Amino acid sequence: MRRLSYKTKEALAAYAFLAPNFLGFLAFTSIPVVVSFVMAFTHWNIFKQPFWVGLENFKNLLWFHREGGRLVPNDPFFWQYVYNTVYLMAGIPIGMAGSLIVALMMNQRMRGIVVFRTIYFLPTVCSGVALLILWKYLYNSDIGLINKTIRLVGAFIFAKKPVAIGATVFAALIFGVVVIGLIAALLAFLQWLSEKIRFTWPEGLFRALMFASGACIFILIGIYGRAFYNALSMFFAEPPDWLGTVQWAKPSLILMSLWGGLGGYNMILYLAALQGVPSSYYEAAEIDGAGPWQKFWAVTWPMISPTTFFILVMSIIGGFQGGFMIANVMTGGGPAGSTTTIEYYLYQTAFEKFNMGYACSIAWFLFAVILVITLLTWKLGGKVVTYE
Amino acid sequence: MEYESKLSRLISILGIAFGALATISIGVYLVATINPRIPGKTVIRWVVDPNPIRKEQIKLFESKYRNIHVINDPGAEPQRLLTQLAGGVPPDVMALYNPQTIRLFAKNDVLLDLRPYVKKYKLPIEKLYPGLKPYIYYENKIVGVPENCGPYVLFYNKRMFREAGIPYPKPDWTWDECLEVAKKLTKYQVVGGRKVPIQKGIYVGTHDWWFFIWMYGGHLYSPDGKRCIMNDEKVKKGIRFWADLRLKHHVTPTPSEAQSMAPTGGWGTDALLFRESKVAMMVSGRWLCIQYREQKDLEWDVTSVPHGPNRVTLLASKCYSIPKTSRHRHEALIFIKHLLSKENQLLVANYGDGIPTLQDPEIEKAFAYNPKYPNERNNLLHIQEMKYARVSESSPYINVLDQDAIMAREFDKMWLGEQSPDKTCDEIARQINAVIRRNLANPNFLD
Repeated sequence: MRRLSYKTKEALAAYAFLAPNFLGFLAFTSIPVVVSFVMAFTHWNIFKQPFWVGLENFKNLLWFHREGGRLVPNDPFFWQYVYNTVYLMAGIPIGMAGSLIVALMMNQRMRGIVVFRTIYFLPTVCSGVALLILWKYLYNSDIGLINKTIRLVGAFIFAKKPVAIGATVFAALIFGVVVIGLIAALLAFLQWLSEKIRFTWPEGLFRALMFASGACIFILIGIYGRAFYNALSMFFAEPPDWLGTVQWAKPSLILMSLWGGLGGYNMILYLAALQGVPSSYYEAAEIDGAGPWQKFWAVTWPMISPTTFFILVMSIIGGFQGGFMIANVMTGGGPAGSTTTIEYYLYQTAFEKFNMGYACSIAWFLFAVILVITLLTWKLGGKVVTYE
Repeated sequence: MEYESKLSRLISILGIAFGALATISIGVYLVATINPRIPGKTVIRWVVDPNPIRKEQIKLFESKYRNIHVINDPGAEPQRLLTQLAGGVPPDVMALYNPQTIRLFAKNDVLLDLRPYVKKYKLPIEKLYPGLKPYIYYENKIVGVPENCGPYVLFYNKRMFREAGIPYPKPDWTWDECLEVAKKLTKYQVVGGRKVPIQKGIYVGTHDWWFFIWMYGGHLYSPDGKRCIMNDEKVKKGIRFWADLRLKHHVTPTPSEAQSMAPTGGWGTDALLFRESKVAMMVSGRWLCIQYREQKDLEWDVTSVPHGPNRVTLLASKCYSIPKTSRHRHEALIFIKHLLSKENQLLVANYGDGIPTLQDPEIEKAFAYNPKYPNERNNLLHIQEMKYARVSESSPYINVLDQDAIMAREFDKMWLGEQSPDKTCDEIARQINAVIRRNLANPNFLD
């Protein structure tokens, strides 16, 4: 019998080690993916054999029809759930900024920094369901810690008129500054876009627009000062039912995801990226007279841009695929369907209504959206990411 | 040459991979499809909730039929049943918990038609309560047998009534009378200048719409099921009353209030609120007696659900069906026959989870009074309420989950004060009718 050569033996060993993963991938990923694509063009309720319906599932999912003179979606729920999913993704940029700030803090050389890093990472290793139940109680409108604190603070502030007026002015200032900050960000973005199409803004236009908008905002705050005071006192006296109202349910969930997300994997990735920036760059910048802010913008930010880009892409993908656990544990997708995401709808369609073909079409629509957005992000991101 | 060698190696590896996959799949299939074997006995699988009574029922059955062994496979969620059926490992007897699920399974030709076996196995179908027909029949076929049932009744806290000086409610009372009582039984305390509820008069859940749809003689669907008539004035009147209970009179807790009133950090469910004397009255079914018996300081009794001009209550039950593909049809039929037998029905009666479905004076007597629970002297009411009980309405032209999603979404808006009860009814009718029209035009939407 011919003896196997060393090379062949080595190759066989390698294949043997790869085999479990390969088989797992074949059985649980690649075959289901192919099957689900075919299923998207069929009608299958599990009981009976699937039958071919062509593009009908996609037409029913994405198309509209006329009813009483107005355009109505074929699926009355789907577009609301798409909106919910996109709305909940508003937390992504805030979460990324927060993770970066936390990572910058955790990157300091100080005693006990490991303890702080552990504390910030702790929510990530805690049981998701337990945390969601905890947050459900925090958000309770009557006994929740958040509303109790708001009422307590409100009782202190609004007990004396001068304190209440002072607090209102302070809150108005913060509100004004936040709005001006948002306008500044928008204008900066517009300026950047203009430069891309080779249109340079006239000197001083940015400053003039900022000044005008700032003045307008503070005049408006002044005019509506009393209404602002009343709204504030109402808010502190009777804080919202966070998860029980359509207006507050989604912002509450975003806030909750920020709490768990700031110190999570994104922070770890940023921390690793920050520690990978060569100190010689900072030394060179210091020699050139750069301050902390300039060092951040000129050295840190470009150097960690590949990480930022990676986190952004992964967060967008995760955002489109998210929302199931929250809907299942905390809100049941309500109130009035305001916290139902595409993922939860997909689950309901497949495993509660047993409409597998339709559920597959939702999954493939989701895939298409993620693919397009990822490609767009890739194309745009490629221009701003700096590789060493 | 090297390319060819690489290609042939790749093909070999793929071949090995597929071979291994096929072997594993066949192995898993064989392991999954083979029931445990007990020499001399046929093993049948009964998919139903793991209520403690199941052990006693199985024990009783096995003492009569020594050649059959029954396994209680817990958890009869439709998803689980479907997976078993699709995977070729059907249960032998399975519980289906509502007429909509029964219809879904029957329409897809999964359930064994029991008509040919009624005579042979002496199944006493004609002795079951007439109100249970939706749990038994599908298009004249007999697709299931219900073993116990329970019309919704009103539980009330006797101590609270006594302390408030209110006489105990009578079975023929109306919703208006109930409202007046509920107002008197709703109490607040002031915490930090805020009125906080410590006790509410009645718990009616945000999904308990049937009582109010039917209250003035309304219906959700037209008789042919092709039109939602939620916008009918009779329905609107009932829904207005329901909304007022919470939004105007504040006698029933909001979901948030329920959560905050619930003791020991509980979920604020209706059962828990009543058990802990946070609500004086609660609409639910017989099954809650099991846990209320354990609460020694709780003095409770039952009366009928209040009514409007139309006296009606909701009926809950479950049926046991045999899949067509069951490998032990004969044994499954014997088991089903046993579930409707007098011995098993007496067991159900004594356990008190629900009313035994067989109409028999001896069983009724056993259910009416159980010496183990001497305080429960009003059990007969559950049986009397069967006269007024009906199952929830549904249409064959809309998936009940779509229907419930539309209703829950629009009622949420009503509870949030975003739309009036009338507008809510109009919107529900409009949306359900739109889905029905779509489904009638495209039957692929329906299963």
